[in-house]
Amino acid sequence: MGNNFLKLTLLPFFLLAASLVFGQRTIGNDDGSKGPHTVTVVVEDAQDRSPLIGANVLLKNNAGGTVTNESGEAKLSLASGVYTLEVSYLGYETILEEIRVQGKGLMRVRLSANAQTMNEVVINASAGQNVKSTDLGKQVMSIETIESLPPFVGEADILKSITLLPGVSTVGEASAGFNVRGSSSDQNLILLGGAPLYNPSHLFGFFSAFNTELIQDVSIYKGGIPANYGGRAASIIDLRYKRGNREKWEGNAQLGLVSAKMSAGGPVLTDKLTVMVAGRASYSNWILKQIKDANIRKSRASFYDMNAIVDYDITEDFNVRYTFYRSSDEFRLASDTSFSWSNQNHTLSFNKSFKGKFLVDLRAVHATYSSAIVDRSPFASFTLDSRIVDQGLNLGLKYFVTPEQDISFGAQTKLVEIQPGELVGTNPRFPVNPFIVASEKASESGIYFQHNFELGRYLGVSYGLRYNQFRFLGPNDVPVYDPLLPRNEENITEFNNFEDGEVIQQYDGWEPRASLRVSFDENTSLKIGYNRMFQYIHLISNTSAIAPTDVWKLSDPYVRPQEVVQYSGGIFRNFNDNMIEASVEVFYKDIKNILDYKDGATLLLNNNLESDLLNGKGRAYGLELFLEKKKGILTGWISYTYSRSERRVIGSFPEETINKGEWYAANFDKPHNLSFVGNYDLGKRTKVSAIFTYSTGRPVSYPLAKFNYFNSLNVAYYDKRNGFRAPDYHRLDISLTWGWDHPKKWLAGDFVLSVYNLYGRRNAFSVFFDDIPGAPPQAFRLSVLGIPFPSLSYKFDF
Amino acid sequence: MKLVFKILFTVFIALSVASCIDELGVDTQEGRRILVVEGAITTLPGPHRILLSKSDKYGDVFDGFIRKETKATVWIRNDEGDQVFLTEGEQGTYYTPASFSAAAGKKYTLHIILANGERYISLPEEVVPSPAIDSLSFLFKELPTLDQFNPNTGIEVYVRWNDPKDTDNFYLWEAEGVYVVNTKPHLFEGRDANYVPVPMPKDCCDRCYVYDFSLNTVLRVFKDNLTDGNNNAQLAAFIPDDGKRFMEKYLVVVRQYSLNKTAYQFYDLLKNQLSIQGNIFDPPPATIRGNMINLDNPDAEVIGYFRASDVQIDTLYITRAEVEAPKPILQINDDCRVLENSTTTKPPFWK
Repeated sequence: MGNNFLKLTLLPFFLLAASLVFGQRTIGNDDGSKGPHTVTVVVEDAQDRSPLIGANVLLKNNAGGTVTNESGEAKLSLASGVYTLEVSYLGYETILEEIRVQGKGLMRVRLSANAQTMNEVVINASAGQNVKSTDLGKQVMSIETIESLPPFVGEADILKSITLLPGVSTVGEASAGFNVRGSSSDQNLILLGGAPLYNPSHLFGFFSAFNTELIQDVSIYKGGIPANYGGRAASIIDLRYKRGNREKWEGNAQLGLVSAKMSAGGPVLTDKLTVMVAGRASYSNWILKQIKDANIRKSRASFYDMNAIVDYDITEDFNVRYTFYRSSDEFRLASDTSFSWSNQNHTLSFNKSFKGKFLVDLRAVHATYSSAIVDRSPFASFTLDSRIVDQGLNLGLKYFVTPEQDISFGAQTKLVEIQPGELVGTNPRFPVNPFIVASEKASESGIYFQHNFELGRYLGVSYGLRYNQFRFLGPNDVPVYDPLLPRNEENITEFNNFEDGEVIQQYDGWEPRASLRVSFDENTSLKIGYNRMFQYIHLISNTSAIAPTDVWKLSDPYVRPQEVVQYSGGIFRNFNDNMIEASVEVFYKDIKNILDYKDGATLLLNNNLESDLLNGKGRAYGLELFLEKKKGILTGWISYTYSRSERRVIGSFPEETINKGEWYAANFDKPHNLSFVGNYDLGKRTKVSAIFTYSTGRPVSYPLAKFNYFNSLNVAYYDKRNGFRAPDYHRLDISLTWGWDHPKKWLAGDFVLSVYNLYGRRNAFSVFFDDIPGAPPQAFRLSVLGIPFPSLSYKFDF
Repeated sequence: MKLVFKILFTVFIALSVASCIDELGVDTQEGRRILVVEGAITTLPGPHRILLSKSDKYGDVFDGFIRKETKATVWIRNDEGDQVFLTEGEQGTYYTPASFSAAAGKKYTLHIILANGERYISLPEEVVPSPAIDSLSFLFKELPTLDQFNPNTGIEVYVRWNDPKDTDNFYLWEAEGVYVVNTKPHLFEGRDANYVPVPMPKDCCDRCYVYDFSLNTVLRVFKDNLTDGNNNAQLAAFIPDDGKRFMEKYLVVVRQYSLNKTAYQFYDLLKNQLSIQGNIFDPPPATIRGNMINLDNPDAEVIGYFRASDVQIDTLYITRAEVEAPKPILQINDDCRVLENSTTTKPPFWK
């Protein structure tokens, strides 16, 4: 019944496809020239007209062809004549079209999703793209892949999914951060529709702060980062928004265990103006209130996020887009303290394509991250607010010189203001002196140039250069420390005062990027790459999750920019007609000016933060193996990473040196990382998925001794950081998806039953040493979610 | 439908208890024996106490036994050259003469020669004057607990004082208490040869004063960087209600010690270390040192702080009637003198 229904609705598309086969399109004006002419083929999704990246554009009887780029465009260089074009994309109907080429020109091909495979095939980055492109250390994950993984509490999670890829690790549950190739979590630039996100998590990292319904796909750049990206030193996570359906309104809703979400999109002016909105909110507060235990009942934990995307096509080649995003979290402990944080982003972009040959992208971004701590203790109660405002303007131009060659260039500038904290007393009887940590302001600008070209079929070169200028601006009072003494508050000799807008410190950086591809045949290639990146903003945190107690800090005269040089290489090979993709990649990173902390550092409300920070060096290296099966009843991947991340801090004084100047493991150093991801299709909209992950335990410090102090308590004495490891981390999650064939739309949804941590492994969130009465002083493990955690969600379209 | 919600609750409750703490059973490395110095001299009359011990392997007493440092030579010297020798009482505990007290504004150093000949000295410690305590006040407090039938309640004692303006001040508070207990010795039951309870009424005593030395479970240190020059209030003690303390009247004695900056840093680090529970906001463990130096090898490790403080004292009576929700009085059918630190003698200062 359901199948027939689908077939009927798809009949028009079959008819359309058939008509295209028999029709013939003429490209270009006949100016008598024999060519070759450049023919640009734009491949789009028939429904929402989003570009299809990596679609195959083949010439029949010619064996020539290419794949579409990130704008969904493929360039062909053709002599005048008649050709048959075959356009295909995994999960979509293949279209055959006869074209007559007379001159240069552009044609659009719209593919419809294949009804038979819509719910069966995991749609991923196009087939063979990993081998054929010069991209190195890049991975694209489609939302379909992310949604096919076992969810936690019913929520598909983008950031958690990313950590299943090679080279990406996480320190565990309840940690928003993830680490890419041995780099700290603040070295990841997370772009949501082009705007940076400072805190990408809800509830201390249990959930990602993105609603997957609006996301088209996620690109992860671990190495070989194109020159148009800058500002963070390890990776770029680029989340692209979808566009509202141009033809009709549609939407869906999902009910989960702790939250519900909804999205809807459609045309306002047919073919011109589309909108898409989405919202998600938790009802965990209501649940908490039902619980008898006062400790829980008086606690609060809630979040919401919402998005809006408005697209307007001035012409077919000229698009204006506005996006809005807001996320908010509130967490209150039964005791007296509450924490809250929120992100709010606006972007406005203009996108014009000149005959598919020249693309102009102008984007304005306004991003705000604010957080607050409210203390309600009876006497000196206070609120502490902090805020980051990031405003930027980006201009990007791309010129497709020939089908084998393109050049990008552009300029970016932004102004970042950080107000690290303003403490205000809230009890007039016991005044707390207002305390404001001086705001910081800086401008960060960059210009870049990127050139990608292919020399024949076997050689691809991609190189670029980016120049950054970072200016730390006034107003600010910068302390001067006695150069002969340790850098601490007592040794400040004077303050230098700077006026508003005055340049206090400038850092310039040249960032060369290059990668080279050598293909041995259609299915095998070798790639090497070099990357240099600077980072001018630092997350100062000694807690494990991104929390409101963390402080973001700009580079200043004392905190120098972090610099990462990465060398990487890899062999890529596909088997069975791109059904299986395999790769082996290696990397080495040299990191300068990493930040670590003095023992007992005060990070919050510290006006001279530099006196508690230490500058050091880092190094990271690793090997990544990846094997993915992309088609068939069983799909999935295996990824294994061996990597190390180490640091060394040697100062002029003993208190400014860590571990006696020896190399030590970074907090997130986890040498072995293994993930299995499998999706097994049982047919009839029923599917089983499983994830297994294993990783080495995170580094912990073990006490060298115990001593008696303060009423004969046993206190741990540490002398080295991170010398030991927490127990290994491993976990199995499974899910069962079942779709009901029901004529009523809202009943014909998908049920997802999942169990997180199926065998109830007590993975250590932290390992600590304590002297608790009734037991000898010893090591304890705190595990979060140490039991199998089932959940159920229901999602339907309307 | 109702059942569905019930299931959902159960599942979510599972989430709240799913975080758990358990023993890890790891073997730490072989412990190092490092001299540990703990002690303070104050402006109060002596004797003041210095404790010497050695650190050992982290683990239980069979694994690593904390040894006291006995037969050491210990003396304190001030910046005018006066010195006073300490005598060993219990093992590893050294006392100044009762006549000795530190003076505000003076600097003191602690000198130690261990039985094995190792020589140690403290950095000079200056006694910073402490401002007087304005007043003490208290608040009834209910702490969260998982036990619904046995609420965790008590009295928070707050100290108020006028913080001197434009100077960095650092404080440490300690508290002790005395309270009255009423027992029923005539209802005492003993056991006969077959361990069967038999009434064995006692004649004495039904009213005692109990000295409470168990209040200092948390290091209460404070710096005035956010409240400089204000009339400040800080939590100085928490007195848990155990059904005995607030039978009639409780006297709390709060001592306010002045600290200098390095002492504050040491105690703050120690406090952080003691508060680590594996939580999201926990600070990472840090190396705790102090102000002691090995004279023969300046790079050698020594743990501990020799502190010299000025002291201000204030007292406060809390009667049962003033406790918002006192716990039911614990009935003790015995001679009240069997309670720890109890006496029938009324303290001379008791009002």
